Amino acid sequence: MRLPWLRPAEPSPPTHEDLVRRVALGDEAAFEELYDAVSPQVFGLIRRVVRDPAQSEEVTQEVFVEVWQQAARFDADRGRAVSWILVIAHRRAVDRIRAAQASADRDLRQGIKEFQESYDDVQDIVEAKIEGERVLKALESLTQAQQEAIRLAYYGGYTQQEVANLLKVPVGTVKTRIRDGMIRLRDKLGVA
Amino acid sequence: MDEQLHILTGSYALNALEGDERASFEQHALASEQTREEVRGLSAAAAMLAYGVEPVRPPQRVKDNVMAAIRNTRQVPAEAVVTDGAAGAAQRGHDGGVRPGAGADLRLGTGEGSGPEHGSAAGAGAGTDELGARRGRRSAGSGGSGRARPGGSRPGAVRALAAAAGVLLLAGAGLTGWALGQSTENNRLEQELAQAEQTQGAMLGILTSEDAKVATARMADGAVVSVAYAPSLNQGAVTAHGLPELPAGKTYELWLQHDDVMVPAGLMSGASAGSPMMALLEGQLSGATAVGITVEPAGGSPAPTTEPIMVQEL
Repeated sequence: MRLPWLRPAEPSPPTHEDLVRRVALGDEAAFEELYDAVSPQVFGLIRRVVRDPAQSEEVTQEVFVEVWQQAARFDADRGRAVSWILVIAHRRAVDRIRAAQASADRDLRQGIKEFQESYDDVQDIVEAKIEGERVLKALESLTQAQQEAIRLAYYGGYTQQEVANLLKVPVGTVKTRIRDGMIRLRDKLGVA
Repeated sequence: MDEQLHILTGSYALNALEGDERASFEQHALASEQTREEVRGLSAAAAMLAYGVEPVRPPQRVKDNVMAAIRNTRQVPAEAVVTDGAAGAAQRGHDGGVRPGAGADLRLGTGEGSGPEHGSAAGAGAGTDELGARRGRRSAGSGGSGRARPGGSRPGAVRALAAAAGVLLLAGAGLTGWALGQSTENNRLEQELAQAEQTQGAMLGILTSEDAKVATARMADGAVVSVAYAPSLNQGAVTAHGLPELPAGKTYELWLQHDDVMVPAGLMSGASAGSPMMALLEGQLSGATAVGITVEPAGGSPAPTTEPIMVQEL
């Protein structure tokens, strides 16, 4: 039984999930704290997919405004706040490049080049980032062809048809590579 | 099972399908528990890929803009969501009056203890009550007063969101391809986009819910109509392939049969001629015994004026 004069231990800093809960109640300070904590991961992902720095900034803004709006709908029982935000970020990043594409077709050659660069980046993942490491490891357990297709689709934001064009293989092959690779990734990551 | 469509689970999880392809896939997934199960797992894996990117701190101006924007941006009201038990987490410690996680029946089948690996995409579809705010319209001119607007929203829509939230991490990420540059969008497009995203988000919730029931009927003219109903979400949807193009001034209208009364349940149209149609069933699903489709004058009718082209019992 706790004696009245004993103070509880120093409260631990709020988790991201706590912050989102407070954001849902309109707490701007909590929002700012959340922004500071997760914006580098969000911006990193968006820049990878969108590539253009100015547009990446815009998309990042959109994402955080959406986080503010939708915070009440986050359910911590189902996953981490960062994952939730990153899912929103990927969707908006892909939205953005597909929109750009409608007006000016993206240069696929350029795509390949950037893809190779992005591949190099992936190798540079900060060691300390446990998830990053796990993801990298899991990705490396796929065949080269599977990795390539998944990286182009996720990090490049390309549709499966575009991936097929880039790799000069039939789209059916791409579908299979992506699916087989994702199944392996799922099993490696133990997410399902 | 349609192998050709089933094989798209991976691409779907990565956001790599285009509009029509995705619509076909979703219709197939509706009818296949095996496909839905696979989508759940692969989407969880896809969400993890985000961690494979090195963090980069955005410039200070991004933060300044964001902080300025939220002051003029209305939030989805916490109360409404909580009332539905959809996001009990948001309520924890608030007054203790609401049990958290009441939406647990919507749980992802991602296996026990997988905890932190799967995110959720609560933001996936937009709430009916938030259509306009959906695309981050940051200067809505509403004076920023409406924040945390209490209650009063539609349970069905909110629950659908909850579904999208937990069920499919990529509920959100699956909604691409309707992309339009935000800054240049006019209001009408924005509305349509929001509507489309909302429908898709809810659709995803339904098709990945554990208890979804699906009935598919092939009509005399070859059209295929599926009715999906997820009791745990009190949410249902209709998809149709190959229904005849209607002349101008006509529309397909959906109905829910309650006892002997047909209650309007929304209109259904395709994104373009010949593309698959998809619509959420509006109104009270519980207690409804059947879903019907009729052809009505544009804008719909309060009661059916023609014989139904299809009636599906629930």
